[in-house]
Amino acid sequence: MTTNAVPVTATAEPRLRTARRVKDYAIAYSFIAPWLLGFLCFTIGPMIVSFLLSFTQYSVTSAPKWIGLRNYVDIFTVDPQFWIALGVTLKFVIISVPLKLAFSLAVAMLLHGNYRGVGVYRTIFYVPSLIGGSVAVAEMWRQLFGLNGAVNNILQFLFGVPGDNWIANPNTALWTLILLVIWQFGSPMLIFLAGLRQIPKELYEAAAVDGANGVVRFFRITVPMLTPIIFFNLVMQLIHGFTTFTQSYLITSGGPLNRTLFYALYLYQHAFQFFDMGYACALAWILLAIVGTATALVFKSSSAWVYYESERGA
Amino acid sequence: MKRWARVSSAAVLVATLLPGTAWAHMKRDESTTIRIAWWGNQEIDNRMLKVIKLFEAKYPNINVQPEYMANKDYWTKMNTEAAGGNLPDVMMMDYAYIRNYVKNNFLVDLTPYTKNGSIHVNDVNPADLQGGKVNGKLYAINIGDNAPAMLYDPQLFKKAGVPVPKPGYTWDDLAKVATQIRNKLGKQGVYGIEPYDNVNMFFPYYLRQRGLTLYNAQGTGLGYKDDSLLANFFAYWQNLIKKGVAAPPSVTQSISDPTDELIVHGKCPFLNVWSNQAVYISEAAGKNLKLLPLPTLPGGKDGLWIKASALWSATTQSKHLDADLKWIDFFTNDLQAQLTFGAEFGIPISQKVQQHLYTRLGPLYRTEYDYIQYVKKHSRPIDPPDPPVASKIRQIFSTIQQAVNYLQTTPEAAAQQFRQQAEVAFRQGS
Amino acid sequence: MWRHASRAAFHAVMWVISAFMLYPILWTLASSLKPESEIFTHAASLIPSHIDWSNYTKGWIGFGDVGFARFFANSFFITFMVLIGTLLSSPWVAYGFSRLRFPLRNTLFVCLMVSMMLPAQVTVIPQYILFRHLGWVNTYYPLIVPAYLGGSAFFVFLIMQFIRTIPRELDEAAKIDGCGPYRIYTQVIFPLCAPVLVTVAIFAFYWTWDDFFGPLIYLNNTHLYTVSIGLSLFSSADVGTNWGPMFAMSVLSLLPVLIVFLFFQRYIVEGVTMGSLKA
Repeated sequence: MTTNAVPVTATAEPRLRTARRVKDYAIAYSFIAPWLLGFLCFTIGPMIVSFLLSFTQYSVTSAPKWIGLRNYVDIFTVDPQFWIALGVTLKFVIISVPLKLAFSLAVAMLLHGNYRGVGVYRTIFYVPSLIGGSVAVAEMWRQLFGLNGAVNNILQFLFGVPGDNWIANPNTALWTLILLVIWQFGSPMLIFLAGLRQIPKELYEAAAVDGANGVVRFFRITVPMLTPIIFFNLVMQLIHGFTTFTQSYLITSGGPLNRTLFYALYLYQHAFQFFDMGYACALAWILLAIVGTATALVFKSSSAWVYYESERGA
Repeated sequence: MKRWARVSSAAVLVATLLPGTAWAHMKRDESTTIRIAWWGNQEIDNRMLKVIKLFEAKYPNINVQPEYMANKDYWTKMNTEAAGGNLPDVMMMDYAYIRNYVKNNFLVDLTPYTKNGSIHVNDVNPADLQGGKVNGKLYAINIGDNAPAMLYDPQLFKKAGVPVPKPGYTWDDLAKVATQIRNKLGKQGVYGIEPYDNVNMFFPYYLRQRGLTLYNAQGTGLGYKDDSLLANFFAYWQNLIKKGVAAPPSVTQSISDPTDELIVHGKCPFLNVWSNQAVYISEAAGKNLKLLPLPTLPGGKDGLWIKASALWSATTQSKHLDADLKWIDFFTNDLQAQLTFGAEFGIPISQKVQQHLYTRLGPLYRTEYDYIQYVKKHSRPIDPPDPPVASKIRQIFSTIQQAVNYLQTTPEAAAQQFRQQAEVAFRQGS
Repeated sequence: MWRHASRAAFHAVMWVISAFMLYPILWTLASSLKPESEIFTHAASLIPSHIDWSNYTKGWIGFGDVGFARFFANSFFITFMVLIGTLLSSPWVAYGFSRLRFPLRNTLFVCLMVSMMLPAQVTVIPQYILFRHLGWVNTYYPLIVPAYLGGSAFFVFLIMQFIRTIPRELDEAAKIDGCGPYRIYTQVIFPLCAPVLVTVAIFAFYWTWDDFFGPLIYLNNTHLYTVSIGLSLFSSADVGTNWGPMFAMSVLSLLPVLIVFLFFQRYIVEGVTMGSLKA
C-alpha cells in the first residue's frame, strides 16, 4: 500500500495494525480465490505430473518407466528434428509477431473513429479471426495458395507471371502460414480498440489547446497511454506464437521438408502419434523454459517503456 | 458479498442444469448399455447407426451408445481414454495400433469365443482372420478386406492411345507406360505417374517381393540389411521425377484429400490406393476408375497382401463382454446388417455375406470384390503387426522421402539416413 | 474538397483490405453452394454452376438421430455458461491481482503466466484422469467449471492490464467516501472496464464456440457433441471427406459468432453506460 487513503497514525496500536492487515489480506484473497481454487484443483497437479513424466518413458497406454534425464539428453544430442522445429518456430515468431502487432495497431487506429461504415469494416476485418482453425479453413487455405488458386490467378492477372504451389514449395510454405496468422489479426486489433477507447479524451483536448498536431499527439499521448496494451499483446502473441499448432497440423503437417514443423506440432506427434508422452513432456518443459525466458525479458524491459497511469510516481 | 451470492447461484444453476442434459440420454431402465467407438465420415456414421438400430432390435435388452469421430482424432481420443481407464466396450482397431494395445493388455483375446461359437466364423476363410492376430492369438475381427492397388483411368489411356497394363506387368512396364502417357499428353498437363515412394504400402511391397519385411520379427529393428534396396527403390521414383514423367512434389505435396488427386482432375492415369478407396474416388471423379495390382518383380515373390481396413476389438475395460461379443458376431454375420453397411470398409469376411452382397450392391462393389479375389490368389500373408515405434519410423521415412522427391538428396544418402534415424528411434523406443 | 478526397482514399484503402479479408470466406460460401463434384474441379471459381442447397440439408441432418440442431443447441449452452462464468470471475480476480497487495502476490502472478505457457498437449492426460475421478467425463463440467474459477488466465491478465490504466485517484476518492474494496470493485472498476469486458465477452464466446480439443476428449455421448465436433465428423482422410456438407455447416457455424460480434463491436468503441461516474 503505497498511498493509503486512511492514514495509519503512528499512535495506533501495533496489534490493531496487524489485525487490519490480516483483514486486508483476507479481502485480497477473496478476490483471487476463484482463480486460486481452479489453479490448485485443476492446473497445478497436471503440470507437476507432466514435469515428472518428462523423466519417464511413457507410451500413454502403459505405465510410465523412470529413465532419469534420458529424454532431455536425447533431445539435445541425437534429435536433429528438435533443432529444426525450434528454428522454424523461432523464425515464425520473430517474423509474425511484430508484423501482426503492427498491422493490428495500424488498423485499430484507422477504425477507432465512429463515422459511417467503420463498424462494417471492423466486422469485415474481424471475420477471418472468427473462422478459426478448422479442417474447412485448412482446405480453403490450401486451395487459395495452390497451383490453380486465387493467389496465382491474381499474380497472373496483375503481372502475367505464372504462379507456384506456395504451400508445396519449401521456400514459401512457412510464409503462407505466417500470412494466415497475420490475416487473423482480429484479436489484438480488438484489444487495441478497447485500449484506445480507454484513453481519456481530456488528454487530447489539452494537447490540442497546446497546439500539438496529430503526429505529436500520437507519439506523446496515444502510444504512451497504450503501452500497457501493447505490452499485453506482445506477451500474449509471443506465448501464442511459440505454441502455434493448428495451422501446421491441419494445413501442412509440418512439411514440405520439415519447413513448417512447428515446435508444438512436433510435440503433439510425440504425445499422440509416436506413443512417447514422456519425450513430449520433456519437449514441453524445454519450450516452457524458452517461452518463460522470453516473457520474463519482456516483463523486465517493461519498466523502461510501459507507462501505467495508475502507478504514476508510485 | 452480494457478488458471491450471484456467483454461487449461478454455480447452482449450472449444477442443476448439467446432469439433466448430460445423462438424459444415457440411463434407460435395467438393460445393458455398451459403448461402441469407430471412425468414419457422414456416410459411414449413418450406415453404422442404422446397423446399430438393427442390432438393438434383435437384442432389445442391449443399448448401444455410439461414439464416432474423424479418423484424424480417433487415436488421440482412444489413447486418452485408455490412459484414463475409460475405453469403450467395443472399439474399432487398426493393424498399425493393435500390437501396442495388446501389449498393454487392453484387448480381449477372442480366440476362445470364436471356438465356442459366440463369434461365428465358420463362413470365414481363416486367412481373413490373420489380420487380427498378435502372437498367434486373435484380438480383433476383420471388418473388411482391403489390398494395395493401383487405381487407373481407362479414358486417359484411350486418349493417349496407350494400352492398359495387364495384371502381372513389371516395374519396368510401369515406368514405360507412364513415360508414354507423359509424352502423348504432357502438353495438356498430364503426368504419367506420381512418386509412390511411401512407407505404408509401396516400400513394404517392394521388400516383400524380395522376401523381406520392413521390420524384423521381434519389432526391434529394420527387417532388411542392405541399404541399396531402399536406395534403388528411391532411385526408381526419383528418376521418373527427374525425367518429368512423375508429377513433382510442387504438384503433389499439398494434395490432402484423395478426391482432390490428379486422377480426379484427369491429370494422371494412376493413383496408389487401398482397394476400398476405389468407390468413393470414382464417385468424386465422376468416371469409372478401375483397379490394377501393383507391378510384379520377374522371378520375385508375390508382394501383395490382404489387410483388414478396420477391425472390431472388445476391450478389457468392458464389463459387458457378452454384449460386446454379440455385437461383433452380429456385425460379421448378419446379412441385413452387412447390406445396410454396404461394404464401406472393404469386402466383408463372411463368404455368405459376400455372396449376398454380390448381386445386391452396385458394379463398383463387384469390381472391388473381383480385385480382392485376384489378390487372394496372388498374395502372401500380411507381415506381423507394426511395433509401437512404427509411427515414428513412418514419420522419419516420409521426411526423407520428401527430400528425395524434392531432389534435395541422393537415393543412397537417403537410404543411409533412414537407417541411422530409424535405429535411434528403435533404441529410444525400447 | 481535401477532406472529401481523403475520405474517399480512406474508403478505397478499406475496401481493398476488405476484399483480402473476405475472399476466403466467399470461397467457403461458394464451395458450400456448389454440387459436391465441383468443389475441387472448379475450385478457383467463386460462382457455382448452379446453386445447390443440398449440402445444407444433407449437412444439417447430421448423423443418425443427432444433427446440427442438436450440436448448435449444445454449443450455445456451453458457450453461454462459459460466458457468464468468465464475466463474473475474470474481472473479479484481475482486480485482486492489479489493485490489492497480499503475500505471495508475485509468486501467484508468475503461476498465472506460466499456466499459459505449457502446451496443453502434455497436461491433457493427467487432467483427463483427474476429471474422470471426479466423475466429470461425458459431462459439460470440464468445459464449463473452469470458466467460473477465474476463467482463462488470458482474460485475467488482459483485464489486469486495463485496470492498471485506470487512474488510482478514482479508487482513492471512493475510499475517502468510505468504500471498501468490494464497493470500489463494483462501483468504480467494474463499470470502467466495460470496453475490455465487451472484448472479453466476444473472445470467450468465440473461443468456446470454436473449442475442439476439450469437447473431443471429454464428451462420449454423441448427443452432447458440439458444433466444432460435428464439423470434424465430415472429414476423413481414408474413407473420403464430405466436403460439401462440411463447408455448408462451417458457414452456418460462423453465423452466431458473426452476429454476436456485429452486435457487440460498437460497444468497444462507444463504451457501455453501466452506472455513470462522476470522476
